[in-house]
Amino acid sequence: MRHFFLMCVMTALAAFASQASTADAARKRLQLTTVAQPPLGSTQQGPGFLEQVAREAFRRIGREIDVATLPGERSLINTESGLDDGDLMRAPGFEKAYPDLVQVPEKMGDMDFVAYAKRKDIKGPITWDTLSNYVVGYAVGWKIYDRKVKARDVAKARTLDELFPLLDLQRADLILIDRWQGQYAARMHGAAVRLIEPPLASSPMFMYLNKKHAAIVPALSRALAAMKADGTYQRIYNSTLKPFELRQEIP
Amino acid sequence: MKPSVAGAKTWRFDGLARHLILSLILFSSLITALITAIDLYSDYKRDIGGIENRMRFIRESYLPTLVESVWVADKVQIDTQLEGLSRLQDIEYLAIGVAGQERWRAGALRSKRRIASDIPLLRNYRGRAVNIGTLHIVASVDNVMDRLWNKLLETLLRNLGKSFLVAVFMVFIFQRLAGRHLETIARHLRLLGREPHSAQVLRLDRPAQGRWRPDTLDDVVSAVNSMHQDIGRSHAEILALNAELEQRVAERTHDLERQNLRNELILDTTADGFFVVGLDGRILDVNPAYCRMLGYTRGELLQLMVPDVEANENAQEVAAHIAKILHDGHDRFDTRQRRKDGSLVAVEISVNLVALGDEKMFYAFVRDITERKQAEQALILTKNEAERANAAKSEFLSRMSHELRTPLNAVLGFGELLETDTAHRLTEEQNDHVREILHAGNHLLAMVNEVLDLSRIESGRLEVSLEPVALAPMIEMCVAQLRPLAAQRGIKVTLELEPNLLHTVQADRTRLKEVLLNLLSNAVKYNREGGAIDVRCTPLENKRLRISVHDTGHGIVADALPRLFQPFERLDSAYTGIQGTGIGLALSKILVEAMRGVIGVESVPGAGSTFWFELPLAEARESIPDAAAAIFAITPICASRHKILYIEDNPANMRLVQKIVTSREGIAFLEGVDGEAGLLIAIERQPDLILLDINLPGMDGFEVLRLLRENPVTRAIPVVAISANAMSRDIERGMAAGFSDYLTKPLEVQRLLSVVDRILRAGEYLN
Repeated sequence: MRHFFLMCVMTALAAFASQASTADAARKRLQLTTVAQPPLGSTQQGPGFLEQVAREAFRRIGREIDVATLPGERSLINTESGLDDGDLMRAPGFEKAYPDLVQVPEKMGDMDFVAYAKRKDIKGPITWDTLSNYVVGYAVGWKIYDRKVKARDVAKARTLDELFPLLDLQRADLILIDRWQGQYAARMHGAAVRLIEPPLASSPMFMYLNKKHAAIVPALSRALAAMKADGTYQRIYNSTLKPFELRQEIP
Repeated sequence: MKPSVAGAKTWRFDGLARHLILSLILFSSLITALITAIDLYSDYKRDIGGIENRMRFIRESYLPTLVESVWVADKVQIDTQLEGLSRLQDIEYLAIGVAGQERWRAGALRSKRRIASDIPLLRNYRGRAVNIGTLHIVASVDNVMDRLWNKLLETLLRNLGKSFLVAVFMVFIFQRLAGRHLETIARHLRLLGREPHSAQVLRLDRPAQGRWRPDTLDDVVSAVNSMHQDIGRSHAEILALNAELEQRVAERTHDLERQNLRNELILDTTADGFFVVGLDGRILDVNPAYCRMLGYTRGELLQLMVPDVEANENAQEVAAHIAKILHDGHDRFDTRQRRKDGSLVAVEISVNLVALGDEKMFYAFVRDITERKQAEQALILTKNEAERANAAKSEFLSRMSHELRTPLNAVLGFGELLETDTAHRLTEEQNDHVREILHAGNHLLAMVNEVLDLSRIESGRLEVSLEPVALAPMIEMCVAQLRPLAAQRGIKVTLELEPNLLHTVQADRTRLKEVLLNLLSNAVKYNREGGAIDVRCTPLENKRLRISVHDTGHGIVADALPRLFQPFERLDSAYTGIQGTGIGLALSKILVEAMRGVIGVESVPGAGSTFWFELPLAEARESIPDAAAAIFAITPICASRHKILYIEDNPANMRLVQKIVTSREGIAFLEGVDGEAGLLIAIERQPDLILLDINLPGMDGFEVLRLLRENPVTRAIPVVAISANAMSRDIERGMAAGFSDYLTKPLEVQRLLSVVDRILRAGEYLN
């Protein structure tokens, strides 16, 4: 009888240990990437909007993450190859060009694709068609601009930091970027540039994971929806992006 | 000597010059090819090394920036960098592959021969090196090969031209310095060969002095002139030698002619004929003696062939002689040859095959052997006569002994009956007389047997049948047989045998007994009164056994010993009144030697003699247990009524056998006086046993036996032969014919009775 009891205890312990180790494996930290610069991306002072949202969503499904900022297409290449586990924010439809990516259905947010100018004679509105009158600059890796821009000439910057100087050096008449990063960069740049409204295009943005994590996508999507419902999402927005909502031209 | 000066008037491009020019071009080309090959190989290594260096340069200098461009996926930057690298010498294609697919590329694959290299693009990410792609570089080897090919053609053409010019120059120099002078020397030597007495001296058309003179050509000219002088001297010596040789040949020829004359004289004067025959059978030469022998002239014989004079008409025999001569080189044989008048002459011919150069012929010496043949014929006639006489003697002896044994049979048989007849007791005096009769009869029988044996030996008909014979019982039996005779003379017989003498000798049982009895009876006969006889048996080392009989007689002087074993030699015993034929020892010697033994004697006059013989030991033991047969034989039958038929033409023998057989109770004795009468009685009365004489008038015993066996009524009746033919051959023939036993005359009473008892007992047992 005593033997039987001991055996039962040992079997239970073994089962528990096995379950624990499986859980450990599942809780291995996920490596996520983004091309986004502040305020979407993080700074050395703290995490940006995307990292905070993602970290909270993953926390809710019991996972922890590390986030790295990569240049242009590298983020996609790494996620596609499995070197990294996911890209925090991309426009819809990337799963077609990168078949090993899977989209998290609940969007991370919306993105306005906007133009900045320094010359005073350039007035809005600017459309894809009117771009042909100008020399246009944008950063390498922006697929939407690669696809849509039919300008008189194009000047590409390797990084966002190199983008606004194109206007100063008169290498470009217009530079193309998204609203949040544009606002942040313009503020950092400090020169007199104008955001030309309305945006050239707007698009919802989604998180993409490597296919090997397809199993957690539904839970992650629900967690994001829950964050929006319970105000957590809005609180993060308020603390990171809201300061850059200003829609006036920067003097 | 006149000087012979010859200038080189002609400029000939002969074989030597051609050979020289070709050799020079060939050698020069080989060297050029070798050096060019080494050069080209070195160039090739250098160019390939250059390509590898450029690849290493790309890896070491350009890779970090390329990695960064690939990391940020900057297509413009990557394309620019690849385009720049593709302009490096011999680099014709570059590509960057990511996850097995080429994402960016520059240049194109155009060459047939290429060197390729793959370089992994590694970048540090999240604390470790990550492979973000592969740089694939292809360099063209075609340019390298083109450069090498052009260099090869240029080098070869240049060297070929150079070699040709050098060769032509060399030939010119050779001809100028040596060729024309060699031709002069050749002409001079040819002239010397045709006219050895020519007194010209060789001199070449070249300056008398020179910086490098004298040189090899001067040596050759000097040697030729020296040889010229030597030839002159040698020629004179050869003429002298020739004259001497001719003188010697003349002397030798004279000697040979004298030798020939001598040989011819020998052949002409010899008494034997001589002739020479070619391989075709033609007579080529003859001597006068042969002409006289055959009555032809020399001229006539030289027209004849061998078959014209050879009288042997047996072609096979003649062919065999010819074959032997051709094979062995010689032959000697007797034949007959035909004279001119047709008469035949017996000759002995000795032929030798002689080769004179390539030609072969027969040399034959012929001897007239007519007288010798006549003598041989006479000798053969005499010999045949003697053999016939000897055969008649042997036949006479054989018949005599047979005729003597038949009446002796009756004498001894009836004597034994008288002695053993318990129904009619004899007086003591009568018994003495009977014993005398038996003694004298036995002695006579022994003599007859010995004479018979000797006649057999002389006619070569002695037969021994060797078998293993146990020696101890045989010696004991013979000694026991001799003891009464010895006791009569007070002689003590001692038999010394080893306690367990189990030796078996290879011998003829009957003949061995005969020898033993002969020696023992001699030892008794020639002993002194009250003497002693010592019989010993000693094994020898060489697997033989020696049996010796020692007596204490008068001994024999040494001179007489060799004559002891001669037939009819009785030494001086003939005058001592001792009975004997003088055959015993001679017979013993022959018998012992026939059994592969030896016999001998040692004697001391006045002290006694030791006669001994040795026989080889037998491997196997004697197989027949005599004892069992003996017990079976000597037990008289408890007869019921038996019928015994005896077929015999001699009335005395008939009565003797009747007396012996009917001494057994319950026997009915039937008589048949010849074969036919016997057969009728046998069929009618069906006796239990038939005793059958072999030598019957008309139908003999074998014929009677055959008819008995053919008739179903008499087929099973046992038949015993009784005959005076005591030869072992006769006994074997009888046993083979189917007789149950074979008894020889004179009959031994006990032996006859034991045979009768045995057969009747066997019949009872069967019934």
